[in-house]
Amino acid sequence: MSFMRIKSRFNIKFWISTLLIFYLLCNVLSAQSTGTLRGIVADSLSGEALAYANIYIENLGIGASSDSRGYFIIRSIPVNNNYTAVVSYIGYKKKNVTFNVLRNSITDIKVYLSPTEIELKTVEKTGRRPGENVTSIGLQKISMKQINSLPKGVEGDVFRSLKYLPGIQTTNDVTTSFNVRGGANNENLFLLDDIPVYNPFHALGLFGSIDPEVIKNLELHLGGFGTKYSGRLSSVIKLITKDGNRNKYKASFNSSLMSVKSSLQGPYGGGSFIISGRKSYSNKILNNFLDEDNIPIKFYDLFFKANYENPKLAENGKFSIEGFFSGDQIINNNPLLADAKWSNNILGISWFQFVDKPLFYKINFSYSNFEGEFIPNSSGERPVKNNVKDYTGKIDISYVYASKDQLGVGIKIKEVSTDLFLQNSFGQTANVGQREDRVNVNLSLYANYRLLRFKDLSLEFGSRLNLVGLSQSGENRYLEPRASLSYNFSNNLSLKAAWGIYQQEITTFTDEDVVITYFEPWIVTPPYLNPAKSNHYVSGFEWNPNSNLSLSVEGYYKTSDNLPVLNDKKIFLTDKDFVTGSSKAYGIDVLFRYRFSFFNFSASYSHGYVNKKVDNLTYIPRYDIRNSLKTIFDFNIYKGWKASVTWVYYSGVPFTLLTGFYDKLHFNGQQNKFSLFGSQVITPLLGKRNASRLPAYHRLDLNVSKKFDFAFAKVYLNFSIINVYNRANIFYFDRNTGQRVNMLPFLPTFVVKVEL
Amino acid sequence: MIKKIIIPVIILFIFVSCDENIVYKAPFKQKPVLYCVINADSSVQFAMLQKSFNDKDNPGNNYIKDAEVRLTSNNQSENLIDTSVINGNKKIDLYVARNFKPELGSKIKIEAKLSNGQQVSSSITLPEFKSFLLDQSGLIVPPVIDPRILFISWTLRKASKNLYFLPRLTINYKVRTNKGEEFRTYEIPLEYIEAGKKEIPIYPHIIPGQSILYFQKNIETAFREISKGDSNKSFYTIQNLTFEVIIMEKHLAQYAASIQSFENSYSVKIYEPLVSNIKNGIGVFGGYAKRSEKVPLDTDFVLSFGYKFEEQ
Repeated sequence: MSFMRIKSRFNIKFWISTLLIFYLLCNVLSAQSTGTLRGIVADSLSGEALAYANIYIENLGIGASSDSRGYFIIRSIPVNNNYTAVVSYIGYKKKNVTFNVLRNSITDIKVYLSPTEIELKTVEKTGRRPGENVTSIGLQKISMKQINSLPKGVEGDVFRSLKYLPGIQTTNDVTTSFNVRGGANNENLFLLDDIPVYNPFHALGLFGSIDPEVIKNLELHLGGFGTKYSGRLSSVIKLITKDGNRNKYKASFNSSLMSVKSSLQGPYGGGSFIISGRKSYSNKILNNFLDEDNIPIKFYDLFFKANYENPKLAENGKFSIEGFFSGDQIINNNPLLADAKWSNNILGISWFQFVDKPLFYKINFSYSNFEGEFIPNSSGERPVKNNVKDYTGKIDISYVYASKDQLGVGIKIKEVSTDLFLQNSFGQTANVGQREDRVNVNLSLYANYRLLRFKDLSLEFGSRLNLVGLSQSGENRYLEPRASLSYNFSNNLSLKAAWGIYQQEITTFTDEDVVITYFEPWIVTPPYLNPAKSNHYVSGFEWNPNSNLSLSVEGYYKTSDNLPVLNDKKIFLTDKDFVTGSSKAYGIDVLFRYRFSFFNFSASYSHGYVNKKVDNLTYIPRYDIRNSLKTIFDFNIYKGWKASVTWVYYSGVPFTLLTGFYDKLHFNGQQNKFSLFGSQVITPLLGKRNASRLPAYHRLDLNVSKKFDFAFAKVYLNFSIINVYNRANIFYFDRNTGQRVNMLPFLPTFVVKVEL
Repeated sequence: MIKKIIIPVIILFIFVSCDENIVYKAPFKQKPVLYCVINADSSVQFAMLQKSFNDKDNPGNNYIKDAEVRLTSNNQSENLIDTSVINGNKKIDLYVARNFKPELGSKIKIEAKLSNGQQVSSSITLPEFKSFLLDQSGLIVPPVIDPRILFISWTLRKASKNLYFLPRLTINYKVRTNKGEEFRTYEIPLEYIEAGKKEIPIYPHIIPGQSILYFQKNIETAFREISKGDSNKSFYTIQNLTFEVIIMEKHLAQYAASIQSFENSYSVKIYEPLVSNIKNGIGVFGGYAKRSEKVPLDTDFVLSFGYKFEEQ
C-alpha cells in the first residue's frame, strides 16, 4: 500500500528533470580555465586507503582532506603549471607529489604513504591544515591505531574505547552501551560502513560485536550532524571497515583470555578481500564483569568484505560486498534458569564511482537483521522474542564546485519490519511490534550545500525531506533542516556552531530502570505516538596554538519531544504500552590534547544536565552524569615497549531511594472479588524518582604492549590491568535483598596477536 | 619518569580508594495503609488499617489497632469497631461497620484517626444507576445467531459516568455426594491457555465497556470440567447459568486493574504501578455493586453432558 503511495507521488518526469538540472548546473559551473586534481591516498604496505590525510598544494596555498574512503578532489587549479602537492598523515612519511592539470579536465593521482616508525603519534587530527575552514562540529574521527593504544581489557573493543571521549556517558563499566550528550542509549545509530546494526554487542553488552581488527576508522557524530544521516536523535557511530591488503596476503591469529580470532586478507584479480572470525572459548573472565559464579556465554562473529575494480568495466569505480554475522547464546542447561540467544545478520553491496566530472556517487543496498530470544524455561520469567528486518537502498551523490563549494544530494528508501512477541502471566502471546495493516517504509531525500569558497568561513546547510514516515504516525512529510558554520578567527582559533532537527521512528522496548539486559528489543514507534523529534544547538571553539597542543570546547543544548517511554502507569489492559515524554539536555564538553615526541596526553571533561518529563513528572534520568573526567597518558617506555595509563572519573548516577515496604492487598479471590481477606504481597515503597545519587565512579587502568618482529611473523603482546587500585565502584544494589553488586574489580588480562 | 610520577600516583589512589557505604534507604517514615471496599449491596462494611515497615525480612504485625475509623455518607455515619477474624490459619485485624448501607450514587468518606495523631482519609462516589438490564434478545446457550459465540451485553439506566465492570458467567449446579447434596458454582473462563501439560483458565478483566464475548467451545469445556474425572454424570444437576457484573467506581477499578495489568500485560516493567487514593497514606478506598441475571440454557444442551437439568 505504501509503495503504491510512493509511486503515485513521484513519477519519472520528476526524477529526470531533477537530474537534468543537477547535470547542467555542474557543467555550467565547471566551465573555467582551470583543471581539477583528484586522487586517493593509501598505505604503501597494505594499499588500504587513508582517511582524513592532508593534501596541500604549496604553490597555491590550497588543499583538501581525503574522505573516509581516502579520496579527495581539489578544483580550480590554474592550468599550464607544475605543482607540488604535499601529502601528509600522522604516522606516515610526508610525500611530495608533482603534477600538472589540463584545462577542464581531471588529473588522477594515487599517493602511497609509508608508515614511519614513530607509532606513538597516532592521535591524528582530521586532516586540517593551517587556514582550512571546516564545519565538522561534534565530530570525532578516530583511527584504529588510537584505539589500539588504549588498555584493551579483556578484548580490544571499539565501543568501549569511545567512553574516553567527551560527551559520551556511561552508567556502568560493565556494558558498552552509552549515552551521548543527554540522549537515551537507543538514540545512537550504529553503522557498519553504511549498514545499520541494531544490537552491536556481545555477551550482555559487555563489549562490541564488531572485531576492531576489521575496522579502519571510526566517525563519531556527537550532535549537530549533517543531513546525510537520519533515523536517530542523538548520535551516529560509523565504523569504516578495511578493504583488505592490496599488495600481499596477510594472516593474523589473536588470542585473549576469552576468545580466539583469526583473519586473512590479501589481493585477488581486480581487488582485495578481508575475512575475520572470532569465537569465544572461555567465560571465566566474564564472570568478573557480572559478579556471578558462572555465566555460560558463548559467542561468535564473522566479517567479510571483498572489493572489485576493473577499469575496463568502469573506470574509477569500485564494487564492494560485505557481510557481518554474529551470534550470542546463554544456555544454562538448567531448567530452572532462563536461556537467551541473539544474532545479527548483515549483508551489503555498494558501488562507488567517480565520473568524468568532479562528481562521485555511491549506491548501497543492505539488509540488516536482528533476532533475539529470551527463553525462560521454568524460571518463572516471561519469554521475549524480537525480530528486526531492515532493507535499505540509497544513493549518495557529491559534487565539488570550482569554488571549492560542495553539493551533496541523496535518496534513501528503507523498509523495517519489527516483530516483538511478549507473553503475559497466563501464557498468552502477543506481537506488540508489528502492524498488520501496512509495511513500515521510509522514503527520504536530502540535500546539503557546503560553502567552502571563503578562506576563513565555511557554512553547511541543507535538509532531509521525509516523504513517507516509517511509523506513519505523525505527519507523512516532514523536513529535518540542519546547518553548521565555522569561522577561523585566527590561524589557530576557529569558532563553530551547528543547529539541526532530528527525527526517530524506531525505539527499544526496555524499562529505563533496568541496569542490564540480554538484548534490547527494537520496534517501530507505535502508530498512536508521533515520531520522536530533537533540536540540537551546538557551539564551540577549537584552539590549536601549535602542532602539539589542541583544545576543543563545545557547548550543547538539546531538546527532545515525543520520546517513547514505557508506560509505567499502565493500569487497564487497553492502556497503551508507551506514553510520550520530553527531555532537555545541556552541557559543555572539553577535550585537551598534548603530543610530544615520546608521549601523548589527552583529557576530556564533560559537565552536563538532563531533565526528562513524563506524565507531568520531571525527573533526572539515570544517565544524567554531572561531571566526568577522562584522561589518557600513553608513552614509549623502552625499545618498542609502550604503555598507556587511563583514569576515568564519573560523578554518581541517580537512583531512587527505598522508603520502606508495605503489604499490598491483592484481590485474588475468584468467588469474592474484593474481599479484604485476599492475599497480601510485600511491596517496596519508593521515594522520589532518581532523587539520590550513587557514589562517584573512578578507575585506573594500565596497559603495556610490545611488538616483536620476527623473520616469519610479527607478534604483539598486550598486558592490561583493569581497576589497578581495586576501587569498589557500585553497579547496583538489589532492593529486595539489599545486596550490593560492584563493577569490575582488579583484573589483569593478556592478549597475544600473531601476524603472518 | 615512571618512578617519579606514575608509581606515586597509583599508590595515592590505592590509599584513597576506600569503599564507601551506600545509603539506599531514605530515613524510614511510617505510612498508614488503608484498605476499604464498600459493598453497596450490604450493610456490613470492612476496613483494614496497617502501617508500612522498614525491614522486609521482619515485617512483624503491621495491623493498626485502636484507631478511630469512621464512614460517612449523605445521610448516615458510623464508627467502625475494632475486631479480629480468623481466615484460614491467619488472624486478621479489621474494623467493621454493621449498619452502613449507603445508597447508590452517594458520596462516602472514610476517616481514620490513629492513636499517634496521624489522620488518613479518602472519599468516593458509589456507582450510580437506576436499573441493570441484560440484553436478552437471542441470548441462550448454546447461541443461535452465531453458534460459536455467546455475546452478552448489558445496560445501566440513568448511570453515572466513569464506571467499570467485571463480568462473570457461572454455572450453578448441585452434586450428589456421600454426604448428601452439595451446591457449587463454576466460573466459565474466557479461554483456556495451554501451559505445559496444564490448561490455565483466563477470566475476564476489568473493562470500561458493557459487553463481553464468550466462545461456545469454552462454555462446553467448562460444562465438561465440572464433572471431570467423575463417571457418574447423572449425579450432577445443573440449576442455572448466571451472568453477574460487578459495577465499580474508578478508584477501585484502577487499583484492581493495576495488579491485574502488572501480572497479565505484555510488558517488561519491573515495578508495579502505585495506585492509591488515600490522603496522607496509601491503599485504596473504593466501592462497588453487584448485579446478576440468569442466562437461558437449552435443556438438550445440558442433557448432552449426561447431567440433569432443574432450572431454578
